[in-house]
Amino acid sequence: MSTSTMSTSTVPARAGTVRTARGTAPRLTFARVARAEWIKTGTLRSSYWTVGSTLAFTLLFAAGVLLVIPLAPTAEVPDPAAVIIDNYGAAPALGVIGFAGMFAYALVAIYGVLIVSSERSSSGLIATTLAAVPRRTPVLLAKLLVSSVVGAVIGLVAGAASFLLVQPTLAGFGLGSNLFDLDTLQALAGGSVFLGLIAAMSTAIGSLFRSTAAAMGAVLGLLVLAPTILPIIPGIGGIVSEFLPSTAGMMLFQSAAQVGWQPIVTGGAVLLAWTAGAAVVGGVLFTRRDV
Amino acid sequence: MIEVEHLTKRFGATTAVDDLSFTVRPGTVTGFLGPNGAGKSTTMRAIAGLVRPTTGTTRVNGMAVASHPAPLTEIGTLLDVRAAHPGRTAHAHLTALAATHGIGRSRVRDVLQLTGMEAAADRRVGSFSMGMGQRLGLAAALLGDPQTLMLDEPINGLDPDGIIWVRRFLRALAAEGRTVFLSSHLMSEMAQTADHLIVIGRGRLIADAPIAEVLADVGASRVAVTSPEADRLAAAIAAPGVAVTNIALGELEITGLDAAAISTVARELDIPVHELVTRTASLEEAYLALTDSALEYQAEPVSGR
Repeated sequence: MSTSTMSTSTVPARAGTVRTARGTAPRLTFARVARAEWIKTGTLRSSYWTVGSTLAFTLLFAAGVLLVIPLAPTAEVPDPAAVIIDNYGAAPALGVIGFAGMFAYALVAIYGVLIVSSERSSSGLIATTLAAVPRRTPVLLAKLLVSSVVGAVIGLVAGAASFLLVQPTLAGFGLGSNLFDLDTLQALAGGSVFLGLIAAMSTAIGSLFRSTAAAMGAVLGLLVLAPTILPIIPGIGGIVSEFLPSTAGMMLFQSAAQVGWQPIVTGGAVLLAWTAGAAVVGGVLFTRRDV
Repeated sequence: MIEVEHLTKRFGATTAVDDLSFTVRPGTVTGFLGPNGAGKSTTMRAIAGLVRPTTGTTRVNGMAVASHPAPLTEIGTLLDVRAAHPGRTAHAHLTALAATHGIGRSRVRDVLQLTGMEAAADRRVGSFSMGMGQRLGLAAALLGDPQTLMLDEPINGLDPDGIIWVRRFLRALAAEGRTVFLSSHLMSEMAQTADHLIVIGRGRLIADAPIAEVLADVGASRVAVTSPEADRLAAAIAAPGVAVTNIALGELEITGLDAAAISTVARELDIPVHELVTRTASLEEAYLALTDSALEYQAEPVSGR
């Protein structure tokens, strides 16, 4: 930094002269804190990397695999349509949307954790943030809002893009369907809510930890490891694992026409309860602990 | 204005701040001085609302900092050199912080200019030197044009030009009637910056007075005397309030009596005096004398002394 650019005599004008763009006196509001969090996530490269890789990874596995099935040699796969139905269900177009949610959720959880933990572990930014907003609750609420909106949008985009990508192939087998069918829209909305809640829950759990590694471990352990390990426990393991946030939440993108509304509503309620619980515990500790 | 009343903060078994009370007044630069680990940062973080006091209260401009509708316009803080995310640009960091209060982009440009950071505005914070990090922290503290500024070790990492700039800058802010409160563990930094000193050690208040008074109180002037009849002279001037130390054979160090009085006594008793010097304590000596008993990590004396 060249010292010649320093001003030695310029001082800001008398206190209290700073104004907002509208000419009013500056003041904290929740909408402004939320806007600040939105600016923060939009000005970090890591946000774009996480969102971009989530979408790329999801499209590759949800849609890409289906697209490859018809390319297999006819000697080995005489009836690709049957293979598709075997793997993606009777309504493969909806199955693809579900696969998108299943592939995206671990990466969305990472985004949810990073939005809060990066302020602590890679810098002392949290002190700057909370000195400006010393009541703290609006900061956590704003982070929950931003992460759930980003999660929900990823869910919507990943689901819709995967769906549209496989349509020409599915139509070739007479399995095509319309994006604006009620069933399709329901699965898309379910996937979007699923990822929105997963992101918010990850942010809430992430706020409990001082290090990113610990927060990641807790969130991915609960969302990814627990559903594969718990069912091993004989007797209760299977039942308990149904109430894990990711397992329950995955009911959200099932088709109501196929499974009925009851499991969808129950699954959604379980995930919502996890998210709300994590937000309350996170909120209480976030406002009380030393920074 | 910053008011701290009976602030105590314990971390487990460690008492970082112990029943500390002081007031930082507007229109002055107040230095917050103490050895490393004395509790300066904890006190400042409690004032900013980042650390919950175990007992006691802190107020900024009359209220708890969280009760103000626009905290950034009340108190600007610089509490950590790494106070911004390394992946964000200086401009983005300040824009996000300003957004919490609805402060516009023109003010972001203003504070970048004020702190000489315009050229670095679009660089990532992770590439900054410590001095640039301090400037960015100062820019963030100034965003709300606050009445009160609280800066933890703001001179750390600055080059000599930067130090002079910060000193002038803080003095000018105080001259406008603002409250400027800055910490340091180096007395020499404070000498040219602060009007008033609050000195703490082991979490307790050691001194709270104008800088000149702090110096005067800590044996500001000692008189060194060299005389072949030092013992006789020592006996002659002995009195309550007069301290005489034998620093070497024939050499005395006297506090509580000035050079003129000592020379009069010596002349009356016909004691030859080879040297008679008034020594004013340096800032560092005054500081050491103040905090000597309060050092958390006292070094072992070097053998042979």
